[in-house]
Amino acid sequence: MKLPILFLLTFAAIAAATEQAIPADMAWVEGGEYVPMFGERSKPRKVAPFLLDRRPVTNAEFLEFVREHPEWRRSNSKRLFSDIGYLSHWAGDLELGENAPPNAAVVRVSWFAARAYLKNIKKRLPREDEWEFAARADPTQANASKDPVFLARILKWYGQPSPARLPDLITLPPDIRGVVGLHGNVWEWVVDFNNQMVTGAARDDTSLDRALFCAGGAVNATDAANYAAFMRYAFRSSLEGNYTTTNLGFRGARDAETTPPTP
Amino acid sequence: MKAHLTSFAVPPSGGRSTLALLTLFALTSILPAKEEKPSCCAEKEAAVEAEGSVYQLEAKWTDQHKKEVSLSDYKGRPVLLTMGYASCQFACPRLVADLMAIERELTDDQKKGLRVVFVSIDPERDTPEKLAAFFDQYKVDQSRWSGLRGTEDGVLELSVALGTRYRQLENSDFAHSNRLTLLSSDGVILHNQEGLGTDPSEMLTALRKTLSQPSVTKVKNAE
Repeated sequence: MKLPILFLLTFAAIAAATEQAIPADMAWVEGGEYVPMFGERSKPRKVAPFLLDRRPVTNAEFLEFVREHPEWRRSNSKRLFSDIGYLSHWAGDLELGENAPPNAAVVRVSWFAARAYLKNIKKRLPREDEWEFAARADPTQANASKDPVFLARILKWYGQPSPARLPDLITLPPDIRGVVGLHGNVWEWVVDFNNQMVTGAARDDTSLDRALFCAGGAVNATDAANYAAFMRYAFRSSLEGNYTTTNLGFRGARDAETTPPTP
Repeated sequence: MKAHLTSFAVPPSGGRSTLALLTLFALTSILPAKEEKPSCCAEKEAAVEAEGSVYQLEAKWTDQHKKEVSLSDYKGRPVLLTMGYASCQFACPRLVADLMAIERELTDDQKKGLRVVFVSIDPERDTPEKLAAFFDQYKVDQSRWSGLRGTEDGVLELSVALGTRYRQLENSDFAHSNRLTLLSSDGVILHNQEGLGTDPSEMLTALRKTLSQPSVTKVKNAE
């Protein structure tokens, strides 16, 4: 009689531990090797398993944060940490208004603001490698990076201006891991966005960095079809930590300490 | 496609300095009514308020004397700061040479009023001993020059604040920006010098100007 109870308790404990390790709002990304797209980065890189938010941080969530942290309200922002466009689409310091639907991704946030938000909930920004690894997924495959249909869809999105009012995240299609909005919604901050040299200031001013700034760079891309990834690297290399733009948001990530969850 | 990328890939970068100037301009026209503070200092405080200061970063560092420091410990004096790493064969010796070239143009009194900070982007390998040995090579005055080792996160945060870019390469070397930053005595970024062997005259003008201004904050650990 005691034994089954013990067994059940153990089982419940394991289930609880797994649940704790993978919060409902995050997806497990298994990690592995992937090949970025150009220069010295054409070699495979290892990505450790990690947890990624299923969706970007919303206006409503960010509003809660600035309510509790006045130093991150629009009127208190310092130029070193957020440029003048910071949350400028909100109606006020503590008011979203019609251009910032509560369940749409928050945009016009700087790297510093995104980082402060995530630190507060014990998350962090994803690394570029992590983001790129996860973003290869479509609704049916974990790696759709060679699928012309997938690439064409992304490029089509890059070619369209972003809407003044961003969509409710619930309307976006989930990928195979249940993650939404990596493509087709807004661009997203990565923690190490500044790993690409911009000017001739690089120690090794090689073609790989210059490649970003002329169309010729695309010729050297590991996967010539993956022009979409090229555009993301180019976009990130143009950012500074205090920049805010109308279609740049963020989501959280965490190191994964456990083995994959049982489904 | 290209036009689309450009349309949002270049956010307003002039924001920082323009806003500061406007703020200063607006404040100077209001200030004469208030008499408590000399206008120099009120202006500087306003600049810190609007611009934000590198000294608001909370990361902890260890210097080459194995002393734990925060960047805000340098408050009170202007600081010339750069990021690099000690085992760097090419650019970093030249960055140090550029720092020394700037110092050589200063009077002894001016030198005393300045701190020089070299922040390592390679905290794994750049121990305090290694940073001290690195400075020994160049015979710099280690009572005024600090070599800082931090955490990976602290280094990244500072690099983003300064607009310095870096990446570890496959061979464990780093690619990084070559940038010297002048901080005011309150940690506001006053001037950046880009590249190696750049003519330092603009930096010197900014440096002499800030060295001639009275400091708002008291020097910490004044000698």
